[in-house]
Amino acid sequence: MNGESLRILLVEDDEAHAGLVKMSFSDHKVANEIYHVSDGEQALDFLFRRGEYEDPLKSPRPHLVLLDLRLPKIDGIEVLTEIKQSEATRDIPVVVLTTSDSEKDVSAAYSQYVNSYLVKPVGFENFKNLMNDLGYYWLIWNKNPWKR
Amino acid sequence: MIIVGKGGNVVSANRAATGLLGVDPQRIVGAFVRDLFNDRFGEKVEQEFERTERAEENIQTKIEGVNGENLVCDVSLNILSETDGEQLILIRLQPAPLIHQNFDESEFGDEHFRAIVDNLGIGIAVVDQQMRILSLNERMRSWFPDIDPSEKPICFHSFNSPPRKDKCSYCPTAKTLADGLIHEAVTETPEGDQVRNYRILSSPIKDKRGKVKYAIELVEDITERTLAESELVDYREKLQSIIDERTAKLAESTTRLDEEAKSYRALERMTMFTQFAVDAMSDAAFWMNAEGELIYINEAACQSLGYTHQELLKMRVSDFDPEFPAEIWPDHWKRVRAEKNLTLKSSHQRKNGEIFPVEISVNYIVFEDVEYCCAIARDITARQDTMAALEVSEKRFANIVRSSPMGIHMYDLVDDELIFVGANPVADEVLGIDHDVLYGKKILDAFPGLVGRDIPDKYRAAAKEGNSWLHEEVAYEDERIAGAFEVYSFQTKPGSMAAMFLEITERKKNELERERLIRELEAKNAELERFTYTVSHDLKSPLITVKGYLELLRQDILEGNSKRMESDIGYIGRAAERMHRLLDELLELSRVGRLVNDPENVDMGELARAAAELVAGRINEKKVKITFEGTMPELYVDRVRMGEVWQNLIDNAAKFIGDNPEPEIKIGCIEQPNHYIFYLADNGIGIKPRYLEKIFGLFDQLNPDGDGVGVGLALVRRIIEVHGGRIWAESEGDGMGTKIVFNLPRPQDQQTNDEETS
Repeated sequence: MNGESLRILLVEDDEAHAGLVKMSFSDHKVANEIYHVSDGEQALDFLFRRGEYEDPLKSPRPHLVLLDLRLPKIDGIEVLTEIKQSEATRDIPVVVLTTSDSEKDVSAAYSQYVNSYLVKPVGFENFKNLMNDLGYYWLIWNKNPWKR
Repeated sequence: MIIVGKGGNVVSANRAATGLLGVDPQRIVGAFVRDLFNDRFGEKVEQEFERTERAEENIQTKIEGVNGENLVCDVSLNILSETDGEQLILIRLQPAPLIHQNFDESEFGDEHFRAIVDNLGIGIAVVDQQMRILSLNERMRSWFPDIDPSEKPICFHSFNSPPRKDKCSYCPTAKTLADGLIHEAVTETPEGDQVRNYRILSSPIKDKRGKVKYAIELVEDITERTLAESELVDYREKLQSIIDERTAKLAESTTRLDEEAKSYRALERMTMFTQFAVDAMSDAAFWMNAEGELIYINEAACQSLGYTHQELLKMRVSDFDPEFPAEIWPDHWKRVRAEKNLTLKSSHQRKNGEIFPVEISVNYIVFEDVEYCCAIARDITARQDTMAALEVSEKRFANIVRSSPMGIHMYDLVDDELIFVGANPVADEVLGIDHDVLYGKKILDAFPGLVGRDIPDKYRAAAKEGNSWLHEEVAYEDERIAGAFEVYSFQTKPGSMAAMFLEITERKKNELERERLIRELEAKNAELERFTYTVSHDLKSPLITVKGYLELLRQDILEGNSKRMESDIGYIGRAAERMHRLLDELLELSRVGRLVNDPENVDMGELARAAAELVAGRINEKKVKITFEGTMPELYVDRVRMGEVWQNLIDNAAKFIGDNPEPEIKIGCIEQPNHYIFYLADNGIGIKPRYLEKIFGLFDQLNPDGDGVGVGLALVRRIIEVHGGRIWAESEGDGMGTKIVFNLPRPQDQQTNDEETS
């Protein structure tokens, strides 16, 4: 990995869930950098370096976005849409991680070019395994168009 | 002069002729001309009758004179035509002048000659240059017995009476004596009370040297001849005028006859035509006299009654018209005579006894002073049937109109104005008015609510052009009537129309109600969807936390990591608590769908104040000042629910008041015609415009740090909508404060939730 740290932008309003994600990754040591924002607005500010994320040091370009759908202020689908519409961000893989397994949300996400859709599993072991696979797949096995 | 008839016999002769011929005047009439003259002349006369083209011819012939002696005379034949076709010949006898006489000396001696001269029918006188009478013959002497030639008297002294002093200017003798030529004159000599005419022919007697020595006067009394000639001329003229007159009369009468014939022929044709027309007429025609006896009947009459011509001609009106018996006939006749023509209804009876209705047109005529009556009868059985059928159909139609479930108004177009002419009872029932007062009114006077609308034009088009018009929803309103109607207008006959209408106010109301219910149902459906979604997401969310951290807790216990254990338990506890609240609030929200409490009259101001007191904890904590503006109305609402509205809104405003040094919430009401607008304005953190709608969504939270689960404002919206109102948020953005606004209908409209009918 060229000795470079891997960055994940975690968009999650539920503090407890964010904790589960972070702990899953920390156990496997796949990702060495997780940036957590708790609403859609913050997520977009981070990605487009606006507001409090104006400083590029505070908002490095992530290698993966883990996106919850039920978000305060701007919901997940809207965030996804903006990411995929902007030339600067559209090649960042976006993985939806949500509690909803509703058909409506799945098709809405894919119609906005989501790269993957995952439903939060019940139980920490399951959570941990999923995050492990996710990390390996997207950050190691999958070939990404890395950009700085 | 002799007049001879066609048979050759003498019709008349004058004295001179009888004298010349020496015939007894009594006997000459009837004698044959052949016997009077020589044969050749007689034939000639007879031939004259054959040759009428030559009217006059002068011939000289010898005739046998007195004493059987031949006499040479000038004879002129004049053919006289009589109108009756009889031809007459006029023979004028005239002794040839002596001078021209060529006689035999031996046969005629002096004595002889003397006797001839003396016995001639004409007078002879010899006059010398001194106009003295030298000699007179016997005839002259008989005419002038007082003259003695031996005294040689002057002629103009002697012949003229009274005697003239000088010679006459016309005197032929004087002329002959002067110029030696023959001269002639006719005198008009008075004799007693009449005039006699003498023809005087004067011939010269010359000596050996040719000098005129004497004149011989031949004097002929032509009085009667002149008279006869003039009579003849008169007679001819008279005849001519009679002929002319007769001819003219004849021509005139011929012309008249021609014209009469012509007009007669025309009349004849006309009569024939009339006869033909009458006979061919499909209506029965009867001619009758004053007694009611039939004198003429046409073919149709015979056929309609089933009698023959001959039979009918022996009948009277009373024989086949039971409504005109003989005893009333005279009265009927008087009426016919008085009215000249009239139309009446009666009935006729056929030979077979059938009786059928007729309409009779009666015409009274007088022809050649005789009164007649011509009756034209038409069988109206079919018409009566039609009328009866029409009556039935009209009754049926009237019944339909009367019992139609739709209201019907009828109009006639008069001078391009629609005039109200009738309505059915249903119309009055539907509109709640009595149409009697509308009769004869113009449409806009009858229904002032139609002023300025296109409906009268549609009606007019129906009456005029027959354009029917259907409108499913016509709103109408005036002082008496208000409602929505379905209207169908159509032509009933040219110039008239009817409008059928059905009140659909109720239907309209129902439609609106249905639409409202559909909207409500759709909203509920959408909410249900959101609810399902929420359950799948928001209820699962704490479960994931609980399950996840329980495993972590187990792991931490094994590892003896007490710090992590505390944190794990904290997550689990908060998630459980959140789940509890979520379930409580979902339950609460589901209750709001139904109004759990009966509505009552509630003072909204009082209710808002009470709510503010219930949330006094947060208000006091944040030191928020609450101001009430204006007056609040009393509304018919669910007191508990409406209280929750105020509670939630005030609490929410206080929660997001931010760090404003003078936090304030203003609560007030603005009265509108149809509803009240309530507002709750704070000077708190405000909302970005894009999130204004989102705040009322279920489980939508702008700020995850808040202690709510996102049900509060969704609940408020539910309650306001259930009361027929609407709620929204106004804010200029972050830090600009927020104004929550909702409206509620005014009490008169509150219970029906009606939108106005347009």
